[in-house]
Amino acid sequence: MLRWAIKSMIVDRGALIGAAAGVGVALLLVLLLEGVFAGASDTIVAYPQAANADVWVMQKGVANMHMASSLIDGDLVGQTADVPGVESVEPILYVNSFIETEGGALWFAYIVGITLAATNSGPWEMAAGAPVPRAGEAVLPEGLAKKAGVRVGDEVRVLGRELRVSGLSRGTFSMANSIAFVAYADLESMREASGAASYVLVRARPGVDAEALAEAIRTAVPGVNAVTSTVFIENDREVALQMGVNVVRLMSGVGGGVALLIIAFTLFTHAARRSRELAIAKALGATSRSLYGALLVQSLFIASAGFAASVVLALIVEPIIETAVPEVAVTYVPTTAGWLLLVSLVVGIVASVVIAQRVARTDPAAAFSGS
Amino acid sequence: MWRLLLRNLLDDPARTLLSILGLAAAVMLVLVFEGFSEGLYAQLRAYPERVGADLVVLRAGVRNLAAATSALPQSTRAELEATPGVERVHPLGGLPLIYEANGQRTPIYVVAFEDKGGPPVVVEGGPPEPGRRVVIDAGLADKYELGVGDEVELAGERFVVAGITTGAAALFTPYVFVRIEDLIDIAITRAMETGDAPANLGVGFYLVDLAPAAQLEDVGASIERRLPAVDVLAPAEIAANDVQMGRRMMGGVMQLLVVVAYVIALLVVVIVLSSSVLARARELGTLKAVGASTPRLIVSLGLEASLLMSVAFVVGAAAAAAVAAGIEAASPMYLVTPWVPGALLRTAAGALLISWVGAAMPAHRIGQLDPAEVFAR
Repeated sequence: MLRWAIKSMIVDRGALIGAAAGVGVALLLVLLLEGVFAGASDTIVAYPQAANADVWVMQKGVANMHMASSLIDGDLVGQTADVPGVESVEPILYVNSFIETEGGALWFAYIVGITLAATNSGPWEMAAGAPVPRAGEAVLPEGLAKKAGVRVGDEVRVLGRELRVSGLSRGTFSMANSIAFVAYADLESMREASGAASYVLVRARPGVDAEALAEAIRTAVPGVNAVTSTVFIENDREVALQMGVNVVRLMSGVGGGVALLIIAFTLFTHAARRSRELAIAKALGATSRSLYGALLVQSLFIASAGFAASVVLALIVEPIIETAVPEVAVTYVPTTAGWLLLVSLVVGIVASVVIAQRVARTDPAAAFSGS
Repeated sequence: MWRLLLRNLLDDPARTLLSILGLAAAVMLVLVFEGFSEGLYAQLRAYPERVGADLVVLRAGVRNLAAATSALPQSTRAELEATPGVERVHPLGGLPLIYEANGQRTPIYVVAFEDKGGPPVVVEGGPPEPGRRVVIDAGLADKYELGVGDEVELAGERFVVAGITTGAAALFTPYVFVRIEDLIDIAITRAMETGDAPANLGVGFYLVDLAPAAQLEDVGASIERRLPAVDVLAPAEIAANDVQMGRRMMGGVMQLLVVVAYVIALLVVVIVLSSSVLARARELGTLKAVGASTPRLIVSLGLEASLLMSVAFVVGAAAAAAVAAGIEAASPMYLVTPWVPGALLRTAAGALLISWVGAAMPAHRIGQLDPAEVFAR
C-alpha cells in the first residue's frame, strides 16, 4: 500500500500540487497575519528600545511615552544628574502631533526634540543626511518621506512652524507612532515650555543597578517618576498595543481561524478523493492498517510540502509587503511556524483516520459499483 | 443551463452546504475587516460632526481634534468675541492622558468643555456639572467596572463619575468629559504651587457660533487676519482631516488585511470549484460528449460559483454582523460596522469577481476532460 500511496501521488501530480498549494497559501496567510501583529508590536516600542538609557525620568504620575503628556522643570534635570550613580543625563522634549507635508497631507507622529549634543536620544540609523537636527530642521522617517514624496531639503510644517528636512532616519516609521526629530530649542518654543523637559534619559555608572538607581532618583528628586528602561518599554507596549495593534491581533485571529479551516477542508477533500480507490484495494484484500498507513503518508506529505512552500513564500512576500506598505513591519515568529506545522500534521492525521475509517466500513460490492 | 445548475447544487446538498459555509466564512472575514476600517473612520468623524458649532478655532498648524495637541493663549477668547459676525464663543480643551487603575493602563482623551462640545449621548446619569464631575465613555466604564458615583483619578485629581456616554471614542481612545472650569481650576492651583504663571489654561480650541446673517468664509478669514496664531476650520473639515489621519495611520495595514481576506476568499472558491469539477468529472465529460464546449462549461461553473456566492454573501453578512456585535461586546472601544453600504457593495463586487476568477482556475482541468475516457469508466 505504501507503493500505491507514493505511486498515486506521482500519477495524480496535479491534485497533489493543488492540495499542497492550498495548504501552503493558507499557512502563509496565518504566518503573515501573525507576522504583521508581531512586527507592529515591535515597532511601537522602537524608540524607547533604541534609545540608550538605563533609567527614564518623567513627570510624576506618568510611566510611559505613547499618548502620554509629561513635562518637568529644567531644575529637576540638574537634580537628576546629581543623584549618586548617574553617569549622564540627556533630556528630550516630546509631543504627539502632526507633520504637514506638501498639499496639506497630515502624518501623525511622535515629535521628539533632541539637543545638539544628543548621543542617546536621536535616530539610531540614517538613510540620508545628518542625525541631529539644528534649529529650523527636522529628521523624518524614511518611510514617511517616501509616502509623502518628501526629500532632504524640502520644507514640512510641524506645530505650525516651517522646518527644513535635514535627514531621513530608518526604523522610525510605523502605523501608530512614526518618530520625527526636531531641535530641542525649536520644540521648546513651539510647546511654550522654556527650560522644561518631557523625559530624561539616564545612563547609570558602571556597576550601578538600574532598578536601584530608579529608586534613588524617585527618592531624591521630588515631582518625578523614574523607571528602568525595561519597565518603561513594557508600559509603553501595553498602552500602544491598545492603540490599533490589538485590532491587528483580533483580525489576525479571525483570519487565522478561517485559514486553518481551509487547511482542514483541503486535506479532507484530498483524502476523500482517494476513498474509492482504497475501497477497491480493501475489497482486493488490503488490510485496514495498510489503508490507514497509505492515507497517512499522503496527508502528512501534503501537510509537510504545504508547510515548506509557505515558509519559502513567506520569505519572498516579506520584502514585497514592506516595500508596498512601509508602515507595516513583518516579523515572522518561529514558534508560530512550529505550531502551524504541528497543527497541519494533526489535521492531516485526523483527515486520514476519518476517511480510512469510512473506507474500512465500506462494503466491497459498493466499491466496485462505484457508489 | 440554470435547471442543470440547480439540479447539480441540489443533487449533493451536503457538499453544497459545506461550499456555502466555506464561502460565507470568507465573505464574513472580508466584511469584518472592512467593518473595522469603516468603524474606525466613523468614530473619528463622529465627535467633530457633533460639536454643533459653525467654526472651530485651533492653534495655527493644527488641523485635527483627534490626537491633536493645541494650546491657545487666554487672550484669544476676547479677540474672537470682538470679531464681527461672531455671536458666541465656547472654549474647549483636549488632553491625552493615560488612565491607570487596577493595574491596567488605558490611553484616554480628556475633553474639557463649557457648554458645547460635551458628551454626545449620556446613557446613564447626567452631564458633568462643575465641581470635579466627569462623564466617561461606556468602553472605559466597562473595562474598569466604573459606574455613576464612582471616583476616578485624572492627572492626579479626583473626579466623580456623573454619567456614562456612548459613541465618544476615536483611534481606540475613549473620551472623558469634564467641565472646563475644573481644568482652569487645576491649572491655576498648580501654577500657584509652582509659582509660575500659566501660559494657557488648558484651552486648545474655541467653538464659534455665528450671528444669523454672518458668512462662514468671511468670519473665518476675519478671525485669521486678527489672530495670526490660529487657524479656523469648519467642523466638517476637521472630521475629514481626522478621517484622513486615520487612513494614513491604519489604512495601509487595514488594506493589507483586507487583501489577505480576499486571497483567503479566492482560495475557498478555487478549492470548492476544483473539488466540484473533480467530483463531477464524469458528468462534465458527458456534457462535452453531447456538444457542450469548454468555455460554455466554464461559464456554467462561473454561474454556479456566483449562485453559491450569492447565498454565501447573505449568510456571511449575517455572520459578520454577529461577529461584529461579539467584538464590540468583548472590546467596547472598537466599533465594527460591516453593514455599511460602501463596504457591502465593495465586498459584493469583490466576491462576484473572485467567483469568476475561481471558476476560470479549473478551466485547464475541464479542457483536459476526454469524453471517450469518461464513457470508458
